Amino acid sequence: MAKYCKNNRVLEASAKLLESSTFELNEENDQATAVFMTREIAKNAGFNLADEVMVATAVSELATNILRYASCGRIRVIVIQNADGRTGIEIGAEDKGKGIRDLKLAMQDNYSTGESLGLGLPSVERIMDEFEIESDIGQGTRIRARRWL
Amino acid sequence: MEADSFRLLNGVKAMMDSGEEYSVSGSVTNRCYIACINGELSSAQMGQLYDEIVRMAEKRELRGVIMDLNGLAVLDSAAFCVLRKISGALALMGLKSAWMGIKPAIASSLVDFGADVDDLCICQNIEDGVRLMSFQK
Repeated sequence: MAKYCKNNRVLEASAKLLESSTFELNEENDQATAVFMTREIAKNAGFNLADEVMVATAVSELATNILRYASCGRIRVIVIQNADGRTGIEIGAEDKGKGIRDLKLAMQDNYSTGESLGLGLPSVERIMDEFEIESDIGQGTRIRARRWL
Repeated sequence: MEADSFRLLNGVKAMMDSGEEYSVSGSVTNRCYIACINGELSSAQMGQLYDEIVRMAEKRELRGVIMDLNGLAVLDSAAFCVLRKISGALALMGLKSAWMGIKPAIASSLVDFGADVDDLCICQNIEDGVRLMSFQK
């Protein structure tokens, strides 16, 4: 499967999982639930308001993509801790949609095959500290992104 | 983990119980329609918002539309795109438009996202917005 990582850095496997929530996305209301709960999770993890909204916006972007292009999928929001004790949030988005043909192209600003300006993925990469995406035609898409306190 | 699940479930229940309506409500003043947008905008709701505002603009003799975004907690690129589309459609109908009430957290996430905010018409409150409607090209 093709893979792209922000700054060519793969997400560290050693981060400890403190709390995990999974949101199944099948319809519009599921997106609202995921976004609302992400804000709660971020707030409880200690993020300030700006970062709370940032992380929730990233979840909203990824949820929109799933519902628009794959019609269903799931988003996991995980509170994590690295080896130095630093807390962060990891967002995992996955679907079994038709996949992305050209990851490099999809990660460019203003590229879209759909109804939006195509700002979604590059925007999520911009605001999250770490970002990786795996996808291929017929194999769905898997995204993981982290933001640290 | 069990306590966390309980807390999360309560959170969802609280949201549902609050009766939050994800929709637009509005009023007209000085021939300006003030559209108050609430909740989290899903794709379906965005489509409704677009239809609602354009329909309202056609029905009444309006000078312009002020989109009150105070009720939005999160604004992703798809929702931002729809708001831009609405402003564009209104301009083609000969109406002016302004956005109002963007919260600081949303403003900073829009900038960090790289959204194109250069030619947006923004007002701080309704009074400013109505005044802007008179001067906007």
